[in-house]
Amino acid sequence: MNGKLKSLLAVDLLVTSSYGLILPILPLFIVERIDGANLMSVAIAQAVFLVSQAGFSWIFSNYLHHKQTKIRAHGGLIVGSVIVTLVPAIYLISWDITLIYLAQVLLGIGLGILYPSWACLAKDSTETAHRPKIKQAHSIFLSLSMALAALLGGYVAYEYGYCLLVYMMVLIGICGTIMSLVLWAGRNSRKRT
Amino acid sequence: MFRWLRALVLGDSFYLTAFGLLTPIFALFLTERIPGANILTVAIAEAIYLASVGLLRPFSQLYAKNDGSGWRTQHILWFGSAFVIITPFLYLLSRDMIDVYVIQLLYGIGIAFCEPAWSRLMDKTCSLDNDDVLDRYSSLSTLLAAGLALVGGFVADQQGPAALLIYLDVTTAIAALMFAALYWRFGLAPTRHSPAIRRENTADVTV
Repeated sequence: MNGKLKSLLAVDLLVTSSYGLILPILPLFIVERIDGANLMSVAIAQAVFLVSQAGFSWIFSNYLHHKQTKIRAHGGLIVGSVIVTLVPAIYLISWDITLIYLAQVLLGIGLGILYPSWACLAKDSTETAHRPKIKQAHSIFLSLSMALAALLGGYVAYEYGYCLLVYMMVLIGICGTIMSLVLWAGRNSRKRT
Repeated sequence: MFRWLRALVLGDSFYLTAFGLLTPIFALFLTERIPGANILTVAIAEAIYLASVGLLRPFSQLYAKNDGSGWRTQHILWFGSAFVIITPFLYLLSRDMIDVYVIQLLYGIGIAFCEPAWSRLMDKTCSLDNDDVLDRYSSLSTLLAAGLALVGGFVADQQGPAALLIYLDVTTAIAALMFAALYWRFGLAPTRHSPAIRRENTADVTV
């Protein structure tokens, strides 16, 4: 496994874990903190996120494969990480369910940009023969890191409140963004040599 | 010919996998219905599901590896589907968080057992190297999940969590049965990566 692939896996694990901290308790977060939020509004928030992710994933995949694929994929990785990092801050300052919907749309846009870029770069940096094994290992590590994130997120929210949880999400998201920037910088340094 | 089959396989598998994670009812249902449920216990329940999927996935893949005829994969698909189908029904009967943890573990085992069959059908119906096809159908299945989440929220809001769980049970049973039928019709033949076909390909190359 080369260094670029390791960095890519680190970006994916960090960004997904950042979102995974709040994923299981997001309905409770919305109902507890937003006035007038009920089961239907939580379901709408989830549907808005999924529709936004599917739509932007489709649009960005087409944009990515048009031309200058690698440059666009590196850019998409950075932009996607930044958007996903900023979304928890919107959760924290939301006082109305409309803002939660907006945050969900933004999260969908971020992940819709991030995942096609990530898949494109990962495909580029793995050999075809090794791809199935790496895919399997990635799915296993992703499930386990999401499980750990869910556990940690629940503990932090229960013991210290949602504020600290959101700060942790932003911090982990920033680490993911830094890793994306490192990948971008690595690409430039190889080009110079 | 396989165009509709690809959509069905992806839609079905995503439905089976994602409902436990994405459904908005789960956390609220637990806190409303189960005594002693709070943020921490909800998170532990979700972590148990994810960890069981992550830990069992290598073993189920190992069991289904080099399965030329596809029978072994079909058997674990049946067991997995049965676990997934009974999960919403068991939620209705759960009394405390220990019950919920065990149900989550069963659900994780079910999903881990269903995955090799899904991989096999995907391998037979479309090339996984073609990312465009996969992207298109994963977008379709995400939209399907969005629609189902909305329907689920509406049912729970109007009729209560018990009605939603019955709805979940029925729809999951239909999805699982459809998936098992698809596997029975299209999955029980050698795939491109199965040993018999691989030997044939190697023989062609050597000739």
